[in-house]
This record gives sequence, C-alpha cells and structure tokens, in this order.
Amino acid sequence: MSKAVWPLIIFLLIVLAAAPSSCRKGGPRVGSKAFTESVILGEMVAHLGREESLDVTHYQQLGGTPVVFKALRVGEIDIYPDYTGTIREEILADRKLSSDQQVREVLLNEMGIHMSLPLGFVNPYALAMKEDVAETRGIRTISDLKRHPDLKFGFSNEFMDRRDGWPQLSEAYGLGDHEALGIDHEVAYRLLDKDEIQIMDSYYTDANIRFYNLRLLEDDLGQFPEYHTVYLYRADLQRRAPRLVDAVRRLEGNISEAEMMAMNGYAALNRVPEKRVAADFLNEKLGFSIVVHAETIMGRIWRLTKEHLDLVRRSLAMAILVSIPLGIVAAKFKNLGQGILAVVGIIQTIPGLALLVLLIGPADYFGFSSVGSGSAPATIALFLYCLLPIVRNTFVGLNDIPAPIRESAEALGLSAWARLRLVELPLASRMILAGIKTAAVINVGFATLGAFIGAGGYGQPILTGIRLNNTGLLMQGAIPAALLALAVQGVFELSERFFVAKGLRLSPGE
Amino acid sequence: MLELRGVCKSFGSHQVLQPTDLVVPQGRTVVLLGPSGCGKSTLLRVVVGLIEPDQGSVWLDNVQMTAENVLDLRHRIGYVIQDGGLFPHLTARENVTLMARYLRRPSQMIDERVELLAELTHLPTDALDRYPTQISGGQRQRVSLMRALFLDPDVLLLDEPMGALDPMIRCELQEELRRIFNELDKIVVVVTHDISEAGYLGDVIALVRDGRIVQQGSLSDLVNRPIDPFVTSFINAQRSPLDVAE
Repeated sequence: MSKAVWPLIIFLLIVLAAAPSSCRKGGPRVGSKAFTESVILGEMVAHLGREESLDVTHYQQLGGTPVVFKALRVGEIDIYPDYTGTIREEILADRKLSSDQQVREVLLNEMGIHMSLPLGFVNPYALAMKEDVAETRGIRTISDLKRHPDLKFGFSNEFMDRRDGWPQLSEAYGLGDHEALGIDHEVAYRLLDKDEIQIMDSYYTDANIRFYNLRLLEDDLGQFPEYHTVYLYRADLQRRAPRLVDAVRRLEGNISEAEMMAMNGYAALNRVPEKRVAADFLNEKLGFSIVVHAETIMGRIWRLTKEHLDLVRRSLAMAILVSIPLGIVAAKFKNLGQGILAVVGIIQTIPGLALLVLLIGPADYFGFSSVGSGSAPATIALFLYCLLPIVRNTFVGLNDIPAPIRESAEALGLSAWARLRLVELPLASRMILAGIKTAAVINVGFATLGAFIGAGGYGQPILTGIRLNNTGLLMQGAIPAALLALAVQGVFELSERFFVAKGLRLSPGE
Repeated sequence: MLELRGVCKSFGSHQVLQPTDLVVPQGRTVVLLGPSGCGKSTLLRVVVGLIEPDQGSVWLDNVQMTAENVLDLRHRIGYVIQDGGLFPHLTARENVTLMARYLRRPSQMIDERVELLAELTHLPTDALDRYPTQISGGQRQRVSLMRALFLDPDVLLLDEPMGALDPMIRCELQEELRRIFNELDKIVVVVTHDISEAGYLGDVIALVRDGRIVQQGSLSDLVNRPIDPFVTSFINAQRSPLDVAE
C-alpha cells in the first residue's frame, strides 16, 4: 500500500474519534431510574415540556439512585422523579433529617435542588410473598415471619444496603436468623414465582404484585418510612424553562395510588409503551391532547443503530490510535512492555457497570458529559476494553517477526523508525488487524452498556426488555447487535486486502 | 580495507569471541571456516554492527565504526544470510530496491541497477516480480545477493549463503559467487563450515575454533602446514567420500 495513504487513515481515525455526536440535543433533560414507575413519571415531564414547545430529552432508566442523583447535581439532567424516603434515608442519610421540610431546605440551600410537593400517591417499601404460600403458612404481618426461620429472603441490593431497608428491618423485627440474598429486582420476582425465595422487597404500586399474585405483609411495627413521590429539579431549570416547571407542578397532588398502579400495570403487563401511558394520563386527568406518534420498529432500530455506532466509532477509533503505539512500545521496551500488558489486561477484568460508575467522577471533573448520547464514561469504558486485543496483537505481531528478517532490515542500514515502518509493521499487519477485529466485535457487544447511562444504542431495548419481561423488545436490541457485530467483522475481513501486503496473503505454492 | 582490532564478545559467562584481529584488503575474499558454534557468525555480525563488541573495534578504510556512523557504514556493507532473509511482504524487486528507494535514489538509476544485477546473478527477469515464497531457494539467494550489492558496497558479507540449498544448486551458485567476487573486486568475507566451499571461494581461509582464529592461510597451508592438531582433525573430518574411494 502506498505510504501516502497513512496520514489519511490517521486523519480519518481522528475525525471518527472526535466528531461530535449527531444525536445530542440542547433542551431540558429529564432522567428516570431503571424501573417502570420512574420511567412513566419521566415521560410525563417530557410530554409536558414538548407541550411547551421545548426540545426535551428523556434519559430513561439511568440506573439506581446514586447515578441519577449525581447526574442531577452536576447538571447532566435537570429533573427526575424520586421518593421522599429515598432522599432522606439514602441520599441524605448521613444528615439524619426527621422531616420532609428539612429535606427540602437542605436540598435547596446546599445543592441548589428544588423538591416539588408530593404527587399524591405514597409508595413505601413493602415485603411481598406469594399469596398461596402466605395463606398456607398464615402469614399476614412482618412480625409473623419470625415464626418461619426457614423462609428465604431475596432483596434488591439497594434494599440490602440502605439504612431504612433490611438492616433496620431485621433488627426491629428480630429477623437476623433468616437467610437474605442480594438479587436483581426483576430477577427476584421470577425466583419468587419459582419458590426459590419466599420473601422479597417490593413497593406498593408495583404492577408485578398483581401479576404474580403477591401478598404485601403488613408493617405492623411501622418501620418503613413514609414514601411520597416528588420531582427533584435544578434551581436553574426554574430560570431556563419556567413554564415547564409550572406544568410539572400541576401534577402535585394529582396522581392517586390507584392511578399509579393502573399506569404501572399498563406498561408492565399490557406492554403499552410508557410514553403512551403517560400521555393517556395527562390527557384524561389534566385535559391535554397529546398525540403519541408510535415509533415504527424500523425507525426505532435505525435510531438505536445510529446511537450504537456513535459509541462504537469513537471508542474504537480512539483505541486504534492509542493501542498500536502502545503495542509498539511494549514490543520495543521489554520491561515497560510487561507493565503495559499487565495494565491493559487488568482493565479487561473490571466489570462493565463498575467501570462505568467509576468513570463518572473523572469525566465530570474534566467537564465531559456523563449521561446521554456521547456519554464520556461509556465511550471511555469501551475504549479501555478495546485496548487489550489491539495492544496484545501488535506486541505479538512485532515479536513474532523472525530474527533473520529483523536483522536483515537492520543490516541494510535502515533506521529504527524506517525498519518499523517499512518492514516490521507491514509484517505484523495481519496480526494487528486481527486484534482490531476482535476489539471491534467486543466493542459492538459491550456498547449495549451505554443504555445504563442513557447513551442509547441496542442496550436500551435489551434493558427495557429485561425490566418488562418482554422478550420481543429484548430481541430488538439483541438481534441488531449480533448482526452489527457480524457486519463489523465482515468489513475488517475485507479490509485485509487493503492493509495486509499481498506477499503475506499468498497460500503456499500460489 | 576492512580491519578488526582486538574484537571480543561474551554472552553472560560464555566468551564467544576471544580478542581477535582480522585484516581483509580490497579485492580479497576471506573465508571464516569452523564448526558450528565456534563464533564465526558472531564475528561477521560484529562487522555489520548487529553485535557490539565488548572490546576492540571495527575499521573500514580507516574509519572506526561507532553508534553514530553505523547506519552510514552499513550502506557500504552488503550482508547475505542463509535462506536470504528476504522480506516476505515485498516482491523480489521491492526487496532489492528497498534501500535505494528509501534513500530516494533516482528511479532510472534504480531500474538500470536492477537489470545489471539480475544479469550478474543470473536471476530470471520474471522472478523479479514474484514474492519470496513464490521463487526457489537458489533464486532467493540470488535476490538476497542483489539486495546486498544494490548500493555497490565496498564490503560483502555472506553468512552460510548456501547452507539451505541442495547440492546441485549449491555447486552452481558457488561457481557463480566465485565469478562475481572476481568481477567485482570487493572486500568479501564468507562464513561457512564446508571446507571445499572455503577452498573454492576463499583467497584466505581463517579456521575458527572456540572464538579464536587458529590459523590463517590458503587451503594448502592448512592441509600441509597445520599449526595445531585441531586443523588437521577438522580437515580430516570433512574428507570427501571420493578421496576415500580412491
């Protein structure tokens, strides 16, 4: 290949790595946590904003409380729904505040965050068990559990850790002898149904209670704090979009328990999109006439593909630009090389979600946006995962060049740089390309992680599909992801003709 | 004139080269002969600067080889190894012309030189545009020789150049090498373990053992006036089966 092509390729990679995301918008940003009720309440704000002709973006199911609240504080999102108990007992747990009024003051004075008035329905934690099991054993209250130490508990990790969750509960009711496991909330419902566990944490308005026919045990000692649902929003939203704030505040006191339970049921059990559930409620209750244009499946997949490729192209291009030089350094300086290989190897073992959360802090420090498309933590996490295959293959490719050939190049009188460029890298090209291919395929798979942080992509329907137990939706993410991985592999397969010299592609005897 | 002054080299505790002196004048061919592992290849690699001696120095026409000038001096040295050491990603022509193209020599000069050297080494022209895996072992050595000679160096170093060839081609190439050495009037150093090859190619044979030159002289000097029992036993070990048959 002519050497004039190389600067062009490097330039192209830089453009791919640095070109701004095509999907980002400027208007107010709504967040929601990774459960149905939160997503519906988020959609309501998004609708209200659009009714005010604002360019609103809703970052759905961003994860647990810490991620979403952090995003609000640093201004990645402007508003999201939460519960007073959660705010008091989890976000501000170390302040030991006793009333919602105190919570309101601390949020506003110290963090510049407004708390709306309660939306109406209360939604406390509850312990749930299957109706038939509860009936056979005669269990109605949490106190009754003490007489059945053989029952197995499966709690969401959040509930296991929170002060007002399991620690306080087990102490108050003397349930310390029971076995309690930390399990994903959605998985726990299925385990409960299969009788693998008998008790789990739930909340009052969860649609699954009806679906799985569960009994909520009475909190006879009054241990669970009162949970009112509120919106938290940044003080500057009041200034930037006062009419949105006004519209949102019309929801205060307007959603009853029955209404919220019905909405959760539509979304989770009847598979009505949250967007439509939210619109129907606003239309009926507040007299809006919001029309939801259902996204066609193809339109949706196309949007997800763009978001997905946005993550892939940046992280992969960056990884190629960094890894090949790293691999060269590793091959040329043995001690440093061992260090480099060890570090990129260790990075590979960090679980994706952990890496994502770890990166939010640094990304924020450097002023990169964490949430939404073009998410810096998601891009950097993918970039880091792509390092190992490329660095390793570059290292191996260069090291595997037979000594006689390496020495022939040296004996010709080529400088070290010329040897690298004219002889060693071309000889290692097939190996390096194989590394890039592996990295690209890993990247396409791992980019589903982006959904955890609102960056969209194929992970979004996968995540929603898991949450709503909707296999069809899950497949809308899983199948395109698999196809894209195959396509990416194919593209790199074809590019061998271009990047690998003909002399290296000859089969013996050709 | 190529000169080695007191060159020695150790790898760990193993001394592969004892302090060694060697002088090769213009137009002469010296053969380094000896059993495998005796240090003869190491000596050659010191000459081309692939190995830096622990002590001593290499001089080419009264210029001492240093880390600074080694790249330039290598342009005046051609180096051929067993099986050619050709770059598999380049065609024969690209292999031969790589260095000249890197040095941005005029392309007309390059083309003329390729033609001249192909004629000199009897390389068929259609082999020039094939890749190393597509040509025979004998042709690979011819290409390697062309590559070594391309910049018209003062010194030509050959390390077991025929080690990987079968006897017929080997014999043919030996004859051609002798003709080429005679035609070119260069400083030539050949490493081999084959005594008949040494006698055929070399003006002077230096017999190497355990990192030391035991005796230097013509083949008949070594046969008739050995200065060490090792010389005789090395020569006898390689007696031709034809001698035995007599």
